[in-house]
Amino acid sequence: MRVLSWWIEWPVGVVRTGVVFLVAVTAIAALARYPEVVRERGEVAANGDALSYADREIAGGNGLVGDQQAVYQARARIPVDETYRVEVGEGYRGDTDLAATYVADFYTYFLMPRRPAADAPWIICYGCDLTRYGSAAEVVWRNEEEDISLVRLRR
Amino acid sequence: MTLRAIAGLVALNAVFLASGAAILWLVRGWRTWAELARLGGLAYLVGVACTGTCLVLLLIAGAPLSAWLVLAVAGAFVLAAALGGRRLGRPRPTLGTVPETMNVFVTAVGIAFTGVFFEALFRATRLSGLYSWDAWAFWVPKAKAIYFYGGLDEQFFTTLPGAPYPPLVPVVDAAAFHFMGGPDVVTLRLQFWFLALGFTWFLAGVLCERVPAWILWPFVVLMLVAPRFGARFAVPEADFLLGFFFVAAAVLVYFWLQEPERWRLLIAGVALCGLVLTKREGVLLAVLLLLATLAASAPRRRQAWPALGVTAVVVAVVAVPWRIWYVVHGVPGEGPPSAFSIRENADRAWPSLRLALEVLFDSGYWSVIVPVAIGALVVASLARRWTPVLFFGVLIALVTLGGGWITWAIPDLPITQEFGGNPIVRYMGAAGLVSLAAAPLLLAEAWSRAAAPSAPDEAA
Repeated sequence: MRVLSWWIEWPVGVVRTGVVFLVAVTAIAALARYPEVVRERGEVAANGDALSYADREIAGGNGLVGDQQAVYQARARIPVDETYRVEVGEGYRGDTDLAATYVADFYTYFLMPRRPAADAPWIICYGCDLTRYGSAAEVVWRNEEEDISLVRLRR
Repeated sequence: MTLRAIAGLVALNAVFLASGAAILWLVRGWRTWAELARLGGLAYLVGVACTGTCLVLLLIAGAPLSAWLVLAVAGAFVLAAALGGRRLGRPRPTLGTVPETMNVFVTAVGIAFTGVFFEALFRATRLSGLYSWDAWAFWVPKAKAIYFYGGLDEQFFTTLPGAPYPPLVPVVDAAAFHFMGGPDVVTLRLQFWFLALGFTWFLAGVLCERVPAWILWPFVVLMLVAPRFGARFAVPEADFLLGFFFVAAAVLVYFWLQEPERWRLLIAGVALCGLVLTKREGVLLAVLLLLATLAASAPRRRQAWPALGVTAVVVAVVAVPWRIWYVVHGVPGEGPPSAFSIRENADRAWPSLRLALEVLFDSGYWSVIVPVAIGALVVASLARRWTPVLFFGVLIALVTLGGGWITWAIPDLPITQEFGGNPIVRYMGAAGLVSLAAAPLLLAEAWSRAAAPSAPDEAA
């Protein structure tokens, strides 16, 4: 009876009960999720291990750039002190709905320290009409299937 | 991903830890090595806040960022602290013992759970890339711009999304690039793993001063497994560092309210400086923390309020230069268009607040943290522990109101929890984290009262 009253007497017993109850709820919630969370991290690590370095480096851009080679070709061929622009043709659909909207942002991130500029001599074309650049345009790399081109304008 | 890059990150974070430990030695001294080990997480966060804040201000002034500049700033803190500490007669630490509240068995079990979690998170993080849109669209590009061009490059800092966001996180990222030997965006995520580890260390080390181990550790482990925390801590964005600084400041201010040692408010001020330079919501959170502190310290306002006023002025002075920088460079402001107009968008007021409340109580984000914190407020009220009840109750309520205010004051934001449409879930992470820190403190206060029922009630 004394033990019981230690837990229920007003107000300190109720406080004791409340503290123990809330700590128990917290501990149960933590322990219930803990194995799943650690296992999930293990799975994420295994999935990451299975990726190529390109998959990891491009990461969020994989659904935007169409072909990993496009970003690597752009990085390899555009000198770090030259400027570039990304042009997306009206009809370009890409792998996802987001591609046309965000592919230029991804190149901004990926190609640094190269700067984007509206009058840049290098153009990364996604589904754009190459004929409009005339004879000054030299296609230095192209993926026909995805309709992606890396173009250099001669001045 | 190379061992050199990882070693570079270890070195950078050791620099943060060393500078923070030196600053703490200056302001409070280290009595024992055990105390230094216990408060290492606090020292680390202080190092990140102090070094990061100084670097941001130097960049705004036009200094180019380099590894040498990071070392010079951290070294200056260490040197100044060493000279000042000697002058103040700070003793060298002795071996010492752990606090009485730190039950060795429970603490060992808690550290084991935490260690296994961070090992799993490390493996998952070191082989991952930047998938989050915010990370690759502006946080990391800003860091790359600082790394490649040395400073706040006008083209990138005025045209990237989130242009008015303060640059502390990009500065820390750029420092990490320098220490890694290059802009290794895959390994960069590990820097956020270090920040998460430092915060967890802070939480356990600082709270164990007042919270018995059996109350404390379930909350630490719950933080690690809560859906919106834990595994997401390593995402290279600013949301969690914002929450870390906010909780660090809140806990230190609360300890200062209980035991008015000046160093606690001083270090809370350092965390607030980091807060206002981490994300634009930081200014709002700093103001809300100040309001909650004013309310909780009202009974001894003559002593407390002048000190709070000085802290607020210092934080404001640190926050202003970045705001001047982006205004001068033509970046639209970070404040909402109808911030204080009650009449405008009146029909959005209740839906906005309801959205904040729904997020606060959504166990899909924070598990049982918030209901347990509310329960802890009730239990601490029954135990008549009014200062923690008033402080944390007002703070959680204000942060929630702040979340409602953000949605209400920005008419373009849809009333939705969707991450891409409304930042409410990111913002409410601060409420979730502060609830997590508040609950064990409230329960420990209540338990100490229940253990000694003859103790006098606290004056309201």
